[in-house]
Amino acid sequence: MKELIIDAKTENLGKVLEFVDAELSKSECTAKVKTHIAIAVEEVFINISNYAYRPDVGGVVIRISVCEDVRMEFEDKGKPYNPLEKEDPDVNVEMDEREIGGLGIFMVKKIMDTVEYRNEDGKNILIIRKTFI
Amino acid sequence: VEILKTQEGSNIMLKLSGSLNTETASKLQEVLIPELEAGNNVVLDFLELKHISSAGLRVLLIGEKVSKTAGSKQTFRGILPEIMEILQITGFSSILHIEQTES
Repeated sequence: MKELIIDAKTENLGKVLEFVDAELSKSECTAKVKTHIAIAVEEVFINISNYAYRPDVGGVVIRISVCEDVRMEFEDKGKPYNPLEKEDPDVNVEMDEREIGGLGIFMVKKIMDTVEYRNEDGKNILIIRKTFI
Repeated sequence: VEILKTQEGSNIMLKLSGSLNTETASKLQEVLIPELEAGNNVVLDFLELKHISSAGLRVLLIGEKVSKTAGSKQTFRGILPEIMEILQITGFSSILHIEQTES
């Protein structure tokens, strides 16, 4: 398991992705899985950066373990927020009715194998998992 | 993301490479939206595009809405399978004008 403690700020996205990529490179992940994990990581990290501590800035702890699958944890001490409660956008409607935004967490749910949320000791903890293939 | 812009007849061609994400989506927005607003048709070549996030999709949706109002068109070509999967998951594959790949 590796851990990165970093300010939840949009401009840190590059560092977060580098951290994740370095770990995934040691695994047997396919390129497609790497891409999908990078997308999920971005959505989760940006969400935390934009909303968790607003208007202040706070930290996020990102843990990754690559064993039988890729397991990642995002932990922040911001406002309690369960992204899984957000209603999925309707992806079958015509373009005119499509709303701009609201797609991030939906994509995470779709491209990861499992997404779990819990609130523990005043911390938001989001866990995502994905197999290598 | 890197954007290479060329003019092919009356079409504007934008060749994207790299990653269309939170950090880079605004770069595309600044190039793409004014062209569509001006009534120009834009072809987006995604062959070198490795990664797209919801911030990138957002720009494409704005482009689609703008082009409808302005009477222009944005067309996509060369989409890689991992990007295509994202477009399918999000329903964007049925909204966007995607050219069939030749090879």
